[in-house]
Amino acid sequence: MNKSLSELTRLTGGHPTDRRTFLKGAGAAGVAGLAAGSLPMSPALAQSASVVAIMPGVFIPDPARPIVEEMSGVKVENAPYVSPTDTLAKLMAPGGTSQYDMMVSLTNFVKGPALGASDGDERLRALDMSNIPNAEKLMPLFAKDIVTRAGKTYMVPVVWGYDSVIYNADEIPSDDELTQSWSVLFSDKYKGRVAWRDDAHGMIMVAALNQGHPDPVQMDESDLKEITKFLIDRKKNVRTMWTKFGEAVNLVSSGEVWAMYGWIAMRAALQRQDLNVTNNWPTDGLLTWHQSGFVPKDAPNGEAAERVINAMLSKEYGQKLTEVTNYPSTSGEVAALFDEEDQRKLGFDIVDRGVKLYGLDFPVNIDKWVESWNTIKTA
Amino acid sequence: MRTTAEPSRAGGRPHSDPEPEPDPSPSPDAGRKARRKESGVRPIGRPIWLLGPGVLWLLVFGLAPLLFMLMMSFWTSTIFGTSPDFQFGNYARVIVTELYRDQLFKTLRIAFMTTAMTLVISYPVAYLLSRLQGMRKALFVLMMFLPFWTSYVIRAFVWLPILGRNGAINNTLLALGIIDQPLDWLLFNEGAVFLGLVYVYTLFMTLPIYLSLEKIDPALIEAATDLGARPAAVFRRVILPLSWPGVLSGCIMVFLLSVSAFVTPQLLGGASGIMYGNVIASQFLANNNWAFGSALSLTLVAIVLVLLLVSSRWIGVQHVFTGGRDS
Repeated sequence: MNKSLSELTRLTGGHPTDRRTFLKGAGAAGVAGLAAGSLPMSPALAQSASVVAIMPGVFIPDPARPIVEEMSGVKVENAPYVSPTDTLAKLMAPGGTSQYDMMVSLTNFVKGPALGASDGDERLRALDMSNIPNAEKLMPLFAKDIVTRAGKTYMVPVVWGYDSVIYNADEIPSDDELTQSWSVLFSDKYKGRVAWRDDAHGMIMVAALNQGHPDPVQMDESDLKEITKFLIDRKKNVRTMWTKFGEAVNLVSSGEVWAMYGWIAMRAALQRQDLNVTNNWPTDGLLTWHQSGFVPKDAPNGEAAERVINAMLSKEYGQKLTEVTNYPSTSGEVAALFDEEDQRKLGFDIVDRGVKLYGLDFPVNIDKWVESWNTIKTA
Repeated sequence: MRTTAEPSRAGGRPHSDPEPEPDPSPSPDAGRKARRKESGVRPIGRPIWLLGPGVLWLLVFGLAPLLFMLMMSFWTSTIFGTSPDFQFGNYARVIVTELYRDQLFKTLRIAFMTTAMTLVISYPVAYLLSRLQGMRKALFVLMMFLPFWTSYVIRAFVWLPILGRNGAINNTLLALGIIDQPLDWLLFNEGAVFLGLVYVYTLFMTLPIYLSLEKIDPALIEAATDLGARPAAVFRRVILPLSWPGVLSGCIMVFLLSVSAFVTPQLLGGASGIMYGNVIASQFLANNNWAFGSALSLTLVAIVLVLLLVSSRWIGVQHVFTGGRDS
């Protein structure tokens, strides 16, 4: 098993990946992932530690799991994942700092409450960075986002991504000016053929960016009212709103809509169905985010969790994750494993694209945002 | 020497008695006692303790969560957590904010209409079912239950490939040349929500009505017919009154389920697919405002309770809870 795994991880390792190798690697990795799941664990792994982790399942897909477990010597047991809100609620609940060994969640959402108001209030374990040497190889874009306080490190970005418009290029030509921004979701031109995401945070954010607000998170109540009015006015063009991954993919694949607010993994899923689906790079603001690995303060297996975070920052894991899900790793070594065309498609070049990058931060008055969103839906 | 017979050790009934014969139809209580003595079973006191498990269950899983929710509805929540600061702000917000009032009325309207539509569809089905016999009945029941062995979400989701632009209905109509463009109005509107809710909750209406109809003695219907009642009168004056507890039970169940629905409107309702349940869900799932979510939930509970109490004055809702026995 070890041999086949290492062969797999070497399939593209150290060399730029051409399309054929990319596909071959992904397919073989899938088979290996299945095999790894069905074979008994190696004695070394069987005797090693295990951690209970809360993280979106997509960030540890089956083909990538053996890489993490082999590299860290730790078995990762995924506890049910619901949402960043739920993850935070679990951490903040009485006894929450000792229930789980590690978590992966939206950095900018979690860090405030998880760190607490001042030094000493942290609900997170200060990471022993000697267990996470791969953190030194983060992409420069994310190195500054390692969360520290008083000289201690608490969170390290492991996966990043962006939300954009996913559209069917057979129906909406890529040279249509509207596809260069979020306007495609608001314009009358594609009335009845677009879907929004049923999410106050994301949709109000992109509407504000589209309307030229420089920093939507800081919107005051009157700005929020303006955006609410705008969305109510534009709602007439919307076929429906999606809430779950499968629902969104089905909307495009069934031809129900041609464009929607979407995630990277949706693009990948639709392209696997041989649909001519792509995403745009909205000039009014590409929504970027990253998810960090962190360890609750009283985690029973904190050190093992640190080794898992380190493995998630390895180029081998990062490459597999990107191949399988299209979500890019924050490791600075991963981009070079893909050829230039794939790097561009995957978004490794977002800094050079010249589009505005806007972090999916959390608004302080999210309560008002949610109320506005319900008003929009009711209207 | 005894002049009157003494009660026997076993039965308490005299061997011979110059007094008048005892009542040949003793009270049920006396009969029970006699049977107990004959069977050798000794009473062990009032078996109130048998209520224990049920009462405990109700306390732990019914009352305690409700009380906790009530308590929390007066607290304060932010995205960072909930703190026990007693205040009435959450309820004030529910009352003064137009959004929540509108949603409440919209949801009650949808729930009433769903209940009415489900009743209209379910009663004939239940009636037919109660008239069938043998294998045909078993087959019919199986057909009715089959879709309900799947998940609720799937039963709502299944309408997407049926009603969608490229769904079964549009494709059929296009193939038959009846339309030349897919119909958009089949899906993602309030009509689709009604369709989904009625479909999903039909069983909850059909089953209790069927059980009520099954219990009706056919002799009563025959008697009414023999006495010259026309079919409509038989239905109005015999069948409907006797199946009324089942109708009420079904209506209450469907109403309660509809009033708290949130998956169906979300999946089938399109851009305006929102009901009160979605507003509550967004407080728990989107912005972690458990306190306000609790206040919204309890407001709904209170309104439904008031509706039930008020309606019980006219439609005998108590029958549902007493199994049709008024006492």
